[in-house]
Amino acid sequence: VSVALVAVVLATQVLAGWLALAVLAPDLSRRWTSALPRALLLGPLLVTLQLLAGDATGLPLSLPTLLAPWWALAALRAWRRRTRPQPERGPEVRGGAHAAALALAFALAGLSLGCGLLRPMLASDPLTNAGLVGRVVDTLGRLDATRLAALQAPAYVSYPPLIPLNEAALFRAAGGAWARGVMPFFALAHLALLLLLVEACFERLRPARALPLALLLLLVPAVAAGGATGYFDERFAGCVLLLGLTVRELDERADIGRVLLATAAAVACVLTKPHGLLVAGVAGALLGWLLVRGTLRARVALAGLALLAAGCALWPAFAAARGLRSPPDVTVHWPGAEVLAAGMGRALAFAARTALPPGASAWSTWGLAWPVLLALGLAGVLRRRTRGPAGMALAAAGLHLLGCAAAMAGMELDLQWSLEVGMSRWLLHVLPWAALAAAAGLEEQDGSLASA
Amino acid sequence: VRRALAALAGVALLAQALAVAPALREQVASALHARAAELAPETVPDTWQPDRLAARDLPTLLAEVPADARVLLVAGVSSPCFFDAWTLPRPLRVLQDVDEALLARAEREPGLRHVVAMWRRHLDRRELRLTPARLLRELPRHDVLLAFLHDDEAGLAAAAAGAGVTLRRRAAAGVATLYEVQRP
Repeated sequence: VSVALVAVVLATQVLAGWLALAVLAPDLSRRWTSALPRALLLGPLLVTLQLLAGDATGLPLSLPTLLAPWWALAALRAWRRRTRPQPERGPEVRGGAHAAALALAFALAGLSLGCGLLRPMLASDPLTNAGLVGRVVDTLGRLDATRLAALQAPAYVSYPPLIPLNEAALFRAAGGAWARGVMPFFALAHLALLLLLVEACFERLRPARALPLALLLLLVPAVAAGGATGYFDERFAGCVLLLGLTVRELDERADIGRVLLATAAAVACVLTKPHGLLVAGVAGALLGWLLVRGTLRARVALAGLALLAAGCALWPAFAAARGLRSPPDVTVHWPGAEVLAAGMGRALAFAARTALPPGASAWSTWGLAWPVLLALGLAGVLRRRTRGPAGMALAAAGLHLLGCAAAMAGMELDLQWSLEVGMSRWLLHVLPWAALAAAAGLEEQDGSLASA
Repeated sequence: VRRALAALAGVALLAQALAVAPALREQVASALHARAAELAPETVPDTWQPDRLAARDLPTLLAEVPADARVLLVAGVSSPCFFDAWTLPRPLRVLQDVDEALLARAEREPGLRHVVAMWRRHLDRRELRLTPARLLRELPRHDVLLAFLHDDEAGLAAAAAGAGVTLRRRAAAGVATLYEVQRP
């Protein structure tokens, strides 16, 4: 029973994401290759907002109340679709190369699912940052501040709520097997990241160029061997890539739906990890730049920026209202400018040593990914036609990395320890920008896939 | 030029495949090790052994304990352990018999220094260290006592007598024993 219930909760998360996508970007919701990864990333965001709204109004966690609205909406939509003519769908899998890349993505996600099921969530950051809060919500039905404050194990109770609240629903569904039942959630996030990486390559490149780039990205050790430990970085990187892909599309389709989709991706980052605020900053800068450049109408851009600001303020306001405090060990203290600059310099130098050969850990974590992606991105900047997208992606990568370095230097932790423990994960968050820059660098001089 | 670029791409992909192979092997090996440690936590020691033992033994013992019972857990564990995850929704108080020499040894490891310092601060903030005075104070405030990797039954009984309560042994599973705290 619990396996079936877990499957229903996971399916509902996907369904919620797909329903939102159908409203924001109907064209993307009609092709499974673009709909599935987006639904996997957006669904948990909507479930989070639903559970926060329920918690704020005193509604305890209950699976029927959580799941029924989405299935009712889906039924309504299915009924309406029967009575309306549907637009023709384009090809979903574009040839053998695309199929091969998708097959590799599914194989890697399958591996992470299998490995995840063998190692249930028992300790460490997955429980500190989310699992314990998820268990409180699962067993008590709400974000009970008193009980959260009374937890005996180290618990980061003001950590953004997307993972703990979605985990709470899965814990409730899995019953006694909660520690294992939650693991597919992470494998599905891994799948979303891998599918979006394939899309980043195949959407605009000829298969002969897209396949090598896709293989290079899918075979990055830090990317391929993820999704099995209950960490949130794959979901986070997937949301960053969704933001980047959507901003890339805004050049061609600057509609309100795409802007809201980009905003939703950034808000999903904000509600997934504290570092999401950096992504929101990058998203705000990109929307502002598109507004200044005239790609976006003022009203549309301002709507996106306002929603982004609201998304950033939501959890801090909720946590403050509930009295949920971050542990003293992770408080950002912002040292003086000189110390901060020196710390940022150390962090950036460490990032370069970690990512670029002949760094000791570069090969085992990234392979050749960073030098190749940066070279392709820079090549894109040098070419006139691709200068815009490649430059934008590289600028976003630089901005994001600078933000990471500033956050690391500003945290009240041992900086060297933070760098050694966290840098590879922070670089995984920045990798999507480099992937988009490289894809832009490989674009044909005369334009799109259609011309190829 | 095209052939040269294609050859270069081929070499790069081969190199990438060589880089990813150990990572995937490590992922599978680590998952298999975790499974083996879960099936036999006492024979396959690993970093999370106390958590694996807690996952194995606590749900069995707590199955019959009411959801509102106040649980005192005395553990012979020096490292962080996520007991709350298994005792929720019951209110929990943990007292850990911390081996200071072990922590001092761990603190000398460069990679662990910071983690141990954080753990020490957490122990102090939460008053988690097992001391006779804390045990005397906490025993009468709780409905059940769980002894986890802590086999000093005589010491617990003496502390209970000192606190004016008695302990009735209700069940045991693996490395954990459940006592009912009976007030006069």
